[in-house]
Amino acid sequence: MPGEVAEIALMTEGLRLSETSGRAADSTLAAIVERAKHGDASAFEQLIDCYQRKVMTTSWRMLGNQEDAREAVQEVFLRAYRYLGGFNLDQDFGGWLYRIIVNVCRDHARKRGSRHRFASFEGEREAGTFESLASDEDVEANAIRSQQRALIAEALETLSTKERAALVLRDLEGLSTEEVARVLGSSQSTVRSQISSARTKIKQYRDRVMKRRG
Amino acid sequence: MNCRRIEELIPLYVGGDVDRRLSGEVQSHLKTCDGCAELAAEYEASRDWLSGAPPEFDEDLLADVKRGVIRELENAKPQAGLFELMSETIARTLLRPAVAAGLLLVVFGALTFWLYAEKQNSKPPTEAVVTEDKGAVERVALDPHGDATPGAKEQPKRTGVNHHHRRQRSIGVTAEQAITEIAEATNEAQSPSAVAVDSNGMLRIEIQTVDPNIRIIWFAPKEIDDQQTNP
Repeated sequence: MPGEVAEIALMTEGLRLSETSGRAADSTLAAIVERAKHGDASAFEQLIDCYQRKVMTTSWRMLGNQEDAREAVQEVFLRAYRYLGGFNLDQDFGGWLYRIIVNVCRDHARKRGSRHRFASFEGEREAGTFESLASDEDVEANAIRSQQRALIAEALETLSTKERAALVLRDLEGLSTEEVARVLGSSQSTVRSQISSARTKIKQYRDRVMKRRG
Repeated sequence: MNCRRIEELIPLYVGGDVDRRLSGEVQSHLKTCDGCAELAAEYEASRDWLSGAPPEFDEDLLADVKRGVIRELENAKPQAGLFELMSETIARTLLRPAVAAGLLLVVFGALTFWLYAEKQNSKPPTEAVVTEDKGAVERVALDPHGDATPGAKEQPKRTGVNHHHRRQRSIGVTAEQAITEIAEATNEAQSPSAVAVDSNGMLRIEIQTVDPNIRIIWFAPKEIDDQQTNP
């Protein structure tokens, strides 16, 4: 079963099963969700194994730092556990989980208020976010990536909560506009407007960074 | 389509968020307009930059997060257990005895009702008549010659006629008049089959009609009756 879970975890990239690879794992995943829904604790642990990396990544993108993302992940799975009984098995589990992530991150961001939001390279390294560094080349490559992540987090911080959620789901999680609208409970035209505005703000931020670098 | 409109569409165009018709128009414009093409390229570079460095988490961190989730779930369980325990205690200490007592009450009530119904069925109808008059009735059964035989058993039945005639008493109609009227009205009444005087001095006259199920009972003040019979 652990191998099966790992296989599903690989296929649930973006919290959805792709058309080609998804079919094989679809029934297995549905069976795990059903067992978890009926109170099987080990099945719920398998769901954590399948989805926690993706939930962590999405939460990090929504909140901008690892510590907040970590707290959000715990809350996401707690809420999922609490509300799984009401989950309709005909629904898309990934979409359902995305709705929880968005709500949890929105609540978390509201609670957090104006205190430090986005990640700094040093902060993330101290928190152990990134993979262990092996060689000097790795050190340099990881330093560049970490710096870029910090900039991305800062760029995302320039967006409103709604713009950020729409952009993260559309451009970073790869959902379609229709799926984003469903997850956010908005119309597609509203989502398009938010995405357009968000892309412009991100571009402007990047332009400023590039200008600073010369 | 002018550059201003294209510039508005580019942020959506680069992500494939415009419909096919508009996408075709933007594409055609970008082929002929360097400024707009450059802007579109910048947007695309910005999108690539944004998705270029996804966050990475090592396995230890993820395992730690998972342990945290499971610990939280474990902590959440005793709260639910406490609630369940309280519910169970309430159910055991209050609810179950209450249900048992309720069932006993229902059984007792049903038994009482059954006994009452049995008693009512076995009770002679005369009792109902006597009770309604709120006084002991001295029963006198009449023999065919009209002589009274105290203690004879008769079973008069209450009918609608009975109530009707009782109401007539209050307007001063005598027993004989009433009997005559009833006999005329029903064409079924016979001569009085029983006369009784109750402890309140009321004269009670019973008439058995042709129909064995209908017995007419009449109450009248004895004094008036006496005056009528002995002027």
